[in-house]
Amino acid sequence: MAITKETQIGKIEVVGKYKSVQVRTDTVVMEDSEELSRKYHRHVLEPGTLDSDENLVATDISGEAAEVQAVCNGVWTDAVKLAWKNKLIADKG
Amino acid sequence: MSYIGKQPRKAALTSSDIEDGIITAAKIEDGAVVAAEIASNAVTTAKINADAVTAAKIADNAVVTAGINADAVDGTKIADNAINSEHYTDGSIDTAHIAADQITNAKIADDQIDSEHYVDGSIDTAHIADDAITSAKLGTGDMTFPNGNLVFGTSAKGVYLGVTSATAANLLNDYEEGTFTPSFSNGNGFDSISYAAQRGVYTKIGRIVNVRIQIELGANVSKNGNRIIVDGLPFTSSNAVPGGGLNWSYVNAKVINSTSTNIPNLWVASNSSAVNWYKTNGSNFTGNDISGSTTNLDVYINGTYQTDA
Repeated sequence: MAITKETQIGKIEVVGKYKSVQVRTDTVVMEDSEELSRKYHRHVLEPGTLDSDENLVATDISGEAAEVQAVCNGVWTDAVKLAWKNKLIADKG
Repeated sequence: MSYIGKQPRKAALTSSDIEDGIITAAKIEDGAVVAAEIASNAVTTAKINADAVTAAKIADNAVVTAGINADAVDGTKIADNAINSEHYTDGSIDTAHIAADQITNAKIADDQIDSEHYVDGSIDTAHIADDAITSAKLGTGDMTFPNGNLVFGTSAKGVYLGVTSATAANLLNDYEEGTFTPSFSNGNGFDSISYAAQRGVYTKIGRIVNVRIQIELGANVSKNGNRIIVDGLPFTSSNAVPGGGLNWSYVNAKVINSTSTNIPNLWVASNSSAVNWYKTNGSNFTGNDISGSTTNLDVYINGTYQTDA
């Protein structure tokens, strides 16, 4: 009878025209093969942020799981990044 | 002594004295042959004409189980409808006496099977045909799960509430609870950010997300003149609807006694996972608007916003 805890990428969702990547990380506690509990933690990845000169600084995804990185790199095309940059500039008001 | 006719024999007749076919049934008086005059095993099946033994010739209780050879009674010897429930004892027909697939629907009368006729657990899914359970077979009242939850076999399936047909606007097919980590966006109001607390919990019901946030800055966080932005909402806000606001639950004196007359409005733009701080006149609420040191700047935010799914 062994109790283990592990984290899994529970969901990767690409939403919106700026291809935000929603990531749900599941923390699962198991006793042998039986799941005792599952907790969710979420974060959202967007293509980048603006620096003081209104240049887009790409979001650092090096710490993300490989599957998350693959999705981000797949959907964040140059066109998406440019559109996102223009939205951030517009949001600055 | 003289005789009229044939002189009687002095010796007893034997079968060799009787010609074949000479004794017919017409020559035997009723009741003349009794069981005591028939030798044991003298009557064999060869001596009984077909159809000669009828039910009228068998006394009540004359045929007992010991008098019937094993397998002597088969289906061809039982007349249609000859066996009723009064002909077998309770419990005499068990599953060992019923061939596989012998009981078909045609042999079960309407309404004959009630819940008392099957044991708990005996009907599993393998015994229920596809589509055999329809809504017509469910009661008209409420449905109760005695000790369990309703679990769908496929994700993103739900319940149409308040309607009697599948209407997309009535479908509730998503619910989720969890945590997230809110943060101040580096460079937007603050630099060199450290935290004393970062806590976020969410509940998503359909397309509505409810969040509760606490962020407390640590020591030595510097301020700048850019708008303060809280990042890290758990879902991206809707593209289809305008952005919306969140609410303050608590802010400490560093915000209350800021350079702004009022505490800032909290705005979640469309297509965003960030909370932007604005003064009530619409201009940016920046880090420089915070009163004094940023150490232990403590904010609690709650509210709802909308997603596209």
